[in-house]
Amino acid sequence: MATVRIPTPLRKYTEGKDEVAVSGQNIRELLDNLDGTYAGIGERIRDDKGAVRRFVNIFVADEDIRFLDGLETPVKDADEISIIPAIAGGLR
Amino acid sequence: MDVHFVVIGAGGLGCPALLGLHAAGARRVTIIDDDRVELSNLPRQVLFATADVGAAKVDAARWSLLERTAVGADAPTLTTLHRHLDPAQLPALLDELCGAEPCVVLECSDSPRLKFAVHDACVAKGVGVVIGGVLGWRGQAMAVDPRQRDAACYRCLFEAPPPPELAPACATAGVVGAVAGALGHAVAMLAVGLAAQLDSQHPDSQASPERAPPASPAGTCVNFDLLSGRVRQIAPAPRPDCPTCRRNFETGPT
Repeated sequence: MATVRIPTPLRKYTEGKDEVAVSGQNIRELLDNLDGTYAGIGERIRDDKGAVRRFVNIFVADEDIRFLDGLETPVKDADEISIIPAIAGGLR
Repeated sequence: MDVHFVVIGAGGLGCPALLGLHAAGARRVTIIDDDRVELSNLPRQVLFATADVGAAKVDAARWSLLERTAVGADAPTLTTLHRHLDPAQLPALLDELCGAEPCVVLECSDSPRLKFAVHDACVAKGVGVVIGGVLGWRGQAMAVDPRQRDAACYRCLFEAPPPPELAPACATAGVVGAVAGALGHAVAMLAVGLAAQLDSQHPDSQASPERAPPASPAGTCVNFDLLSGRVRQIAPAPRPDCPTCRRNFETGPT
């Protein structure tokens, strides 16, 4: 299984865990399985057409999947997957 | 350092960013904010004191920084703009503030929409910009230099701002004040890194021509997760179809 690093805003779906082990041959399968285990997290990462949301990036190791094969990017057991959303919040 | 820094937002991110610039020896800074100091701001907005409550944040920040200037030292030039920023006004404002001299913008506001608008306007004008954001235990800062073709911009990494329903605000999700402090200083240091590049290229630069220019942080996005102590640096490749920065290289700054 690959290790998926969960950003803070999505940890409410993963019982507070900052990383979880998920299986999948590629990113699409991995995200399907992630949502299967932690219901609700999937729609925060992908839109209703299944595309990765425009303010979210997914990295396999240090590579942006948009520069690999997108959702078809293959995943190996030892891979570390990072989900990185834009943090555009600030403080008055 | 003869670079003009423009800090948008003088709140939880802007205060530590201003302190960082001051500590780094910034000589010219413009502070923009439309808010006034409230008692609840004081724990994390460390430029302000109880006596500032009710004052415009830009004025209170200016006074506080001037008080921190050593006796006998030349005081930096600190200009204030107490006004609300409308994205439509940004191009004219950048022309006014950054048209005649090297300039770096620090985006420290609390509005996702404004962050993207400031970034886009800076890229269109060829002005370096650092975007900062915080939430909970996490912070993110990215340095963008539109003159560097090989460095990604913020839109290369994030194509659009998150919609309000998917972007929890600090007011509702909370933020650790010290995370804002750490991130604000990181924003300042990335801005100083961009400025060092500009300074070394300026005709009046005192840098030795034989010396290599300083390494640029442009295209670097730093992500802090300070609950776990994890800091991650991403330096994505520029997105070939990025409508924001690639267009700039085709047509030049507006």
